Amino acid sequence: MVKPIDLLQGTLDLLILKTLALGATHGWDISQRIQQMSRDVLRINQGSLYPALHRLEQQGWITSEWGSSDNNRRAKFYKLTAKGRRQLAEERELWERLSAAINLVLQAT
Amino acid sequence: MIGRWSRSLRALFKKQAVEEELDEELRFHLDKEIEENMRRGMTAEEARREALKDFGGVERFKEECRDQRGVRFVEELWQDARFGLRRMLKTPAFSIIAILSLALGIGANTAIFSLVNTILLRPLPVAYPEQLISIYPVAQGESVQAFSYPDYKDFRDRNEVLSGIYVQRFAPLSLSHDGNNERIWGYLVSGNYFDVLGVKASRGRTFSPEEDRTPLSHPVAVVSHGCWQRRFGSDPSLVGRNIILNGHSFTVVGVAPEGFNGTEIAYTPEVWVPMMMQEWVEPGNKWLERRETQNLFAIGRLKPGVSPAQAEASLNILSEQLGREYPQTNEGQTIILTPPGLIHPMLRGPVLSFTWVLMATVALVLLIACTNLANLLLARATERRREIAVRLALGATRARLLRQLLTENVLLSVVGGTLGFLLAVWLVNLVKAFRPPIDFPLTINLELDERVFAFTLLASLLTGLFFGLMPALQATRPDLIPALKDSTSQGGFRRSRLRSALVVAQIALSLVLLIAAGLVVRTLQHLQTMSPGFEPENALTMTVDVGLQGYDKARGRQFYRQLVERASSLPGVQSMSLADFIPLSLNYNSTSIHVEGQPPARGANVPTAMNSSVWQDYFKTMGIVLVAGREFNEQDTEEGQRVAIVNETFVRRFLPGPVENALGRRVSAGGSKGPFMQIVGVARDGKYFSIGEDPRPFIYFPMTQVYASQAILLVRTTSDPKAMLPLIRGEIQRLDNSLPVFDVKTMTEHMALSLFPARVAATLLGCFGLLALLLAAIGVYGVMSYSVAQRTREIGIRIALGAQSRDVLKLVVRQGMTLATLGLVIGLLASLALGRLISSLLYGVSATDVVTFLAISLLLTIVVLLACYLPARRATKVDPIVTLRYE
Repeated sequence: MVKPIDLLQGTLDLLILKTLALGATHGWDISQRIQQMSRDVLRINQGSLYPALHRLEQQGWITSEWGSSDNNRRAKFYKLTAKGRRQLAEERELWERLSAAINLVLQAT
Repeated sequence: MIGRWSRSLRALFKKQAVEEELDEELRFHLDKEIEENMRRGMTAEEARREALKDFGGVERFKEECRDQRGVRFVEELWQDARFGLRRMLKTPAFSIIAILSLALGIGANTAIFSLVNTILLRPLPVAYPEQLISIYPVAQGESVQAFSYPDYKDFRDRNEVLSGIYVQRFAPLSLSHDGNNERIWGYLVSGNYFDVLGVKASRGRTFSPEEDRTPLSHPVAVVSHGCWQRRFGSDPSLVGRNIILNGHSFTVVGVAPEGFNGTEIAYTPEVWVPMMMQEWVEPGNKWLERRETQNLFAIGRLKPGVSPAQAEASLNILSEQLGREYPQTNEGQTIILTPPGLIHPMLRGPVLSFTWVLMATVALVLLIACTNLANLLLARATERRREIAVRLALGATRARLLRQLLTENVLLSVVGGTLGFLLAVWLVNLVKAFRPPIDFPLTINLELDERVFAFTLLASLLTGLFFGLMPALQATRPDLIPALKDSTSQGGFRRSRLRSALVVAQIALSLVLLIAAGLVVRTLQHLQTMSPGFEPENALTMTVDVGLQGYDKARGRQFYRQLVERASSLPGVQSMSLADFIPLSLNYNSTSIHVEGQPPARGANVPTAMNSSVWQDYFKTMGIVLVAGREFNEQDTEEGQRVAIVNETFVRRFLPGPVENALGRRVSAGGSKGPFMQIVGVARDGKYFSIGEDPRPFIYFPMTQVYASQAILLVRTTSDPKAMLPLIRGEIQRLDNSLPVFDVKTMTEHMALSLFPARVAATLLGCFGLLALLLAAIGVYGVMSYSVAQRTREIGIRIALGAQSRDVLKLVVRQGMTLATLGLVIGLLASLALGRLISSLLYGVSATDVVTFLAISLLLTIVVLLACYLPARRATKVDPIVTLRYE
């Protein structure tokens, strides 16, 4: 059951961390927000979302607790930890360097 | 970090709750999705279908979420273990055979390893035990000797390689306590004993330097923790009080720490007394100033950075110097060093080689047991071929299946190992409760400590993994197609060949073991038929020590005379005598020999002979034939001519010529200056130290001239010697009712002692040999049964074509016997090659004894034949119609 570790996985973690940096929320809301923020360019597959959330939680970057959602149903809310916040900053910097580098390559004439 | 662990643990132990939460989370997501779709204007039905489609394979990514918990491995292990347990219960016969084989193998190994641990591995409970060494002087001809006290002082003060050296001597003592006199064993030690060992008293103190300076100035003692508990009820006020040893008052200055029993593995002393008190401990003996009396064992502590080899070289230089200074006693003496613990280098060799033979034996037994396990697993793997093929076809990886099979095997071996450990606990308790029939505190402190436990665990895991791996690799070899097609006929030729090879190995191994056992049993038989040189039947012995009661020479002699007079006249007593030594005892005396008129030898070249002091009628009572001359009699008094009786070997060695010519010659035990003793008799040779020894020279002194404060009573009775015991005891008590009588036994019981090591060896090796035979029989039976089951169709066809049951029988038995023959040949060759390894345990039997080799081969052949016969008979019962129709 080896999962290919590709760019997408890294970016998904970054996106999730960033979303949670804006406030604690549940899984469905995370996917909605990412979709909205990216103006529907990015659609998060649920099949990757939940394993990613569990992985981030295992890493200690996010924590979860059960709370009630807007229509009073029980939902699992995820929250960024201090460690997660540091991780976000790190990954963000990494991403910016990477995309800058790729841009440089692509703009070369 | 802690958070992650707690999450993992929660996932492991609250699996249900975690799974439910995952379900709920996903359901919430799905519902939100449906809600959203309906908001976009879909019908409820459409919204649901769309959401599900979007969602993808729920189970698959649930599985991925589970992976993220990081406990996958443990979970699967647990799953595998449960699965393995279910399988174990489903095939009980298989499991019981496998587990029992392993339990017996591992149990035997654990028990024997605990012996190895005690003798070789467990460090002494002293400071820096690795620095300690036993130091022995060796005379020419490699006979090991001991130190005299003056020698010790020279070595202590003049060596440059030891940070400390002390001497010790076993000391039997009489402890008067609550009106009783009891004999206890202790140590006479130089005062620095505890300091060199680095052992501190658990109560009070150990000896101080001034307590070891002037003879008889400080009557002090340290008692062992066990003695303090058992004999003094853990009395906290014992330290500082006086106890009576040998009729003298000694002040207890301290209690040794728990678990400290000196340095010798099998000896448990109860009390330590400083060397300067020697005259009170051994009344009538005075040797502290005598360089001739070499009777002390020395132990030293190497200075840091000095290797044993360097120390040995340096001490030998010192020994040479002493040889020049004191040629009479020390010339030619060299020094050897050994690790401490086994009392005497003469014992060390045999004990170690026996231990190693035992360890090798049980290792072979375990190997045979493991071969059985591998064989059973192979058989089972064949049965499970379809199950495994299906699982492989469904996408299970080979690694995953291997892990599962290995888990099952390790489970088997761990259960077997646990049972084996319990078996070892039982065996070890048996050994610990055992007291050999000797007057010596010989205890073997086997302990199942953490090292033994680790050994068992390792043995179990390794057998499970190693012997399970090959069958598991075989089972998971991905040749799916034939396996999935249910073709029962193809049994996997290679597989059965592997199994056959294992059976051959098993037969060969058990043959090696059985032959070793057979040789040792033959040795025992041989020893039992050997004459000890005296008549053991209808004789009783017991020991008294009048010295411990404070008797002087005159009073002691008076006591002996009265005792022999009174006891001899008892009805049922044929004759009676006394001696300070009886043949085949553990401790003996030996003396230097000088023949009048011959040039004196010096130092290590002086000839020696074993000696004892005996009362009148000794030879008559013991049933020892005098080939010339006479017994000692009343005329041999202290004032009269000094006399001696020697044995035939003595004459042959020192007085060549006809036996009669020895009579009247004069010899001395004190060098060329005398005093000389006239030889008045020559006795037939006997066995003196061990039943298997070469003839030794021996010299007897009359106890009236050479006094001994400890005397062994020898009573020749007309009927059952045991019945005479109360009468003899009564006579002793009438003379002195506070005199302790100990070491009471019949001469036959005493003889049993000399055969004791051989009997232990024969019993142990015999048991392990039979165990190996049993395991091999199980192995052969298993393989043959399996082979018959596989060849059912072939046999059916043969029977249909007219084969008689005799032919079928022959067919199967021939297959089995081919394997057996191969195994026997290999086993015989191996036994020939390995024979010299056990030759140290053999006596009077060659390591390649033809009778043993033939008899054992025959025995093994018969057993294999039997193990083949049962499956063969089953084969003759094959119904051709049923087998052919099944196809």
